[in-house]
Amino acid sequence: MKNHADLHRELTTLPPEQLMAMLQAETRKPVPDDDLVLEILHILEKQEAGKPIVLTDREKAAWREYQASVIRRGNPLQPVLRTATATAASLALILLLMFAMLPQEVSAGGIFDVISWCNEMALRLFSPGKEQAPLEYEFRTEHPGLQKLHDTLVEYGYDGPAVPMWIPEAYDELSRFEVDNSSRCVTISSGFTSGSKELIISISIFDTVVPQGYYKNDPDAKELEIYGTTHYLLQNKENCTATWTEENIASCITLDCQEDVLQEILKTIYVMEAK
Amino acid sequence: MKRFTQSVCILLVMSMVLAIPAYAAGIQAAKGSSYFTMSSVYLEPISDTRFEVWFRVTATGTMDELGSSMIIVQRRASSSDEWENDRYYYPSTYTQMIDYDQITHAACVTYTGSDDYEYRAYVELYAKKGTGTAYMPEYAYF
Repeated sequence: MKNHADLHRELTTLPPEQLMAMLQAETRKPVPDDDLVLEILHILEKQEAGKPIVLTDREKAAWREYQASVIRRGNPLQPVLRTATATAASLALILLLMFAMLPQEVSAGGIFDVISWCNEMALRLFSPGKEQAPLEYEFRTEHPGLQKLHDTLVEYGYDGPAVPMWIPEAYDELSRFEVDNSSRCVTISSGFTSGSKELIISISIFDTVVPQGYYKNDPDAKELEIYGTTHYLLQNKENCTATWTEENIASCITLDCQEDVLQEILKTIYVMEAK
Repeated sequence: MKRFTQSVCILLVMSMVLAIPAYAAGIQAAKGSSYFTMSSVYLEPISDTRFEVWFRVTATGTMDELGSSMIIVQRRASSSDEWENDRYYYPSTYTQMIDYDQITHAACVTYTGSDDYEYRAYVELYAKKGTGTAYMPEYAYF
């Protein structure tokens, strides 16, 4: 039995045709010698690696035929280029239309403003839970009595939402305006009349906690949440009262029972603007 | 003096704890009024033995007369379960108790006691409009 080194040395002296014949003969045996087969393949591989590529005549004819067919069809890259050009033109047109539709203040600000705006829009689309533009509170009313009430609150140190910006037009007269000081709070009250009817807005600013109760004849109080603040709607005989607290402010509005009107009044306390 | 101060401190803490949920937490149960929207009564200590009885009331509209028609300061000894009336206040003497043509009114009367008793005040709220009159009883504590 020859060892591997001797076998290798003997096989390397043989030409490729003879190695191929030996390989074919070995693989046809019922039990081929795997070591011999592998060694032959290894040597053939080394022999082929060192040889230059030479086309046969048949291979040369096939290559010429292929080149001719490519020239008849034109540049094989042309379809790709046509598609790419069309795509680029479409994208450019879409971008142009989008730019034209941007808010003026965004498009006038330059490319970085546009990018920033697009990012913000993307956040809104994909992050529906996020807050949008911050909302700011600004008191605005055409009713001088409501303005006076708000201004007085500001004098006492509170400029947040507390005063409605609207009440029914019938209550156009400010008939009463009072400021009462007790040991723990100051109460600012205003009365608006409409004939014999009166709408009362009373707002108390507290220094410390003080017990306080509202009168109602219905055991149940309705809850109405607006902008995160819970308002309690009470039935007090022929009147309806809305009462709520915010920080150290306790407020109530009383008018003859028109609960839907009362709700509309309450909503105007929290009118916010997006800045 | 010491007992009085201790009573004041305990009642002050209790009142603060009970009232913390909201300033307007005390919505009255099924006791409506055509005259009153809101009331607030409490005792405010001034010194070890003196305190003020405060009331504040908001009406359902402008009232001809609004305030308190009577205040009674009551006291109870530690050895007793019974409250006794110690002092009475009326608008005829304490004119600040009633105001006229008002929506809201707040006022107080002053009392001097001792530390041998605990105290509370009965405040009778009052409103008058035209021919109609209303009274509402409330108790004031520290």
